[in-house]
Amino acid sequence: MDTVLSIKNLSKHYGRIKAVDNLSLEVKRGSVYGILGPNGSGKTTTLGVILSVINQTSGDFEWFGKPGTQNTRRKIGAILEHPIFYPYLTAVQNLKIVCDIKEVPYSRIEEVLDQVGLVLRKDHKFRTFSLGMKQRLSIASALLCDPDVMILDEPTNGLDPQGIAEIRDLIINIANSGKTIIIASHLLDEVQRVCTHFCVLQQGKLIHDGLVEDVGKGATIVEVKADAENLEEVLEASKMTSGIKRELDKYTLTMAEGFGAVDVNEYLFKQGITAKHLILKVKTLEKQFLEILAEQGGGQQ
Amino acid sequence: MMRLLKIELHKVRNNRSFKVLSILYIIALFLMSMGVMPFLQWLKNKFADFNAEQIDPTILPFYEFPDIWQNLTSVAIYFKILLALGLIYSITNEYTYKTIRQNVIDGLSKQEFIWSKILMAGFLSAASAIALLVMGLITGLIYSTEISFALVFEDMYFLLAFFLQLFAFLLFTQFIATLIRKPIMTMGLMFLWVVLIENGLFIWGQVKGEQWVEYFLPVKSINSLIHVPFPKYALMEIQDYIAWPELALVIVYGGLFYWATTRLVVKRDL
Repeated sequence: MDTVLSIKNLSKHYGRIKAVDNLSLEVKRGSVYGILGPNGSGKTTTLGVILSVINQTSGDFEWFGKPGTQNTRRKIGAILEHPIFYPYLTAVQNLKIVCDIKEVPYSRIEEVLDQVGLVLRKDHKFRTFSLGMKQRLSIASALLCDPDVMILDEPTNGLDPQGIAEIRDLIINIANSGKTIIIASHLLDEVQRVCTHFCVLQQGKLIHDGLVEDVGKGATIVEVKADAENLEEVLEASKMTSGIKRELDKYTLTMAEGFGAVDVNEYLFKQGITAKHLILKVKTLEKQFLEILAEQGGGQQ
Repeated sequence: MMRLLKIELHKVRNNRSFKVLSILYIIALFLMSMGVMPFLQWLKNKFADFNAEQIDPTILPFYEFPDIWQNLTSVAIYFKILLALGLIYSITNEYTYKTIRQNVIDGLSKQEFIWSKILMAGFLSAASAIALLVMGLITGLIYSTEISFALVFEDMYFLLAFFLQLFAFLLFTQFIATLIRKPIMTMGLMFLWVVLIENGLFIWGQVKGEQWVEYFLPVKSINSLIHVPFPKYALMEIQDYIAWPELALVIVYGGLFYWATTRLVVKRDL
């Protein structure tokens, strides 16, 4: 797999605030790369720099192994923050401007509007569009040049559940067609569903970088409920767990190496306790994300 | 280059304020090029009503070749404010809507963005000069008492000077609009600068006898490239040609504003 984007030691300072701090990362062709981070962690600033609208303080980035110019940007479909178009122009008139900038024939306009389902509204002014339609128009605009890479910044921000589902399906379709996609988001669920790789930014620093499929790995988590007064003591006496957390009548066990849900079930039964609720939990990206942030917070103190 | 002009035309073609201002501008040019003589005719008739036939304003040779070129251009340049307003809106809109940012993301370089605006300014300036040429030829042929090839073309270089004057002023406008990024405040600053600061400094220079001051006033320098010819009808002496140093000054100011605009946009985060 060749590298689409590589960022080396990138920094952007606003006075004393370090919006991006010595960031290095690589995005491979064909991957769907999620950039995670709390609000204000430098996601949009990073995307702004690699799209040449923000001047970096130091560091470099390369697109397709070359320094970025307007010619590389023409092959990238990108949306930063909210959709931006000329409000007094119609969807088609707006896309014509993008076509001229990217040197793409106007015949593509009908195709991409069809792809995002906006054909009926194509001759309406942009300012009359709902937020969902605006988001879809900006995805259409990003698709115009049949890009090698798509960059989406909070693509489902402010949408209703139906709109979110639509945009998500659209992104998955685009990813299936083999395009590289970079998504910045603070919606972990979204990233887990569509991304193959992810990284976590905090205060402009890269604090994690890895595969989404690795998220589930690590210690096994088991949830137990049972009608027994001494459940906690019994569980502690088992020596199978490395940690026990109580939430009301539910116990969350972090299992020690080599033990699983079967062992808990068997052990409890031998102790004369019947579990009424026993679930093997797959770790979510959300959990992993919070853990990473917590580790980082701990390390700083 | 055609690509950039095409992008810009797409942007302004459906913009209402741009359309209104352009139509006003065309009407103003048309009235000035075609309407002076009918107006003098009307005046003459009015005088006749008051038994004052000896006053005949139509003998004023406003549309006489070759004077017509300096007359037309020196009046037409006042209408530049309408084009400047159009340009202010077209530039500040890009900042208000943040479309300049999306343009760059889509694959326009910052330099190309500036060029697209400059090409539009150049295109409008050239169109104005050509419109004056056509209308000047028509009215000149109608009203001139003496017509010969040499007379028609003699002072036509005023049209070129007019183009340069208009273009340099629009570069000044582009710089202010890029600096301020808000339409109303841009207009306010331009008004303040042109009417109060430049005039104030100019008068100060005249009073103190410091003539050099006026060369440091960009708008004054641009405006005075073509001298107002009308005092000559009161038999006063005027400059009826373009002076090279004044021409050079206008070009220097145009270049300076282009350079400053580029610096601003390239250095700034969008």
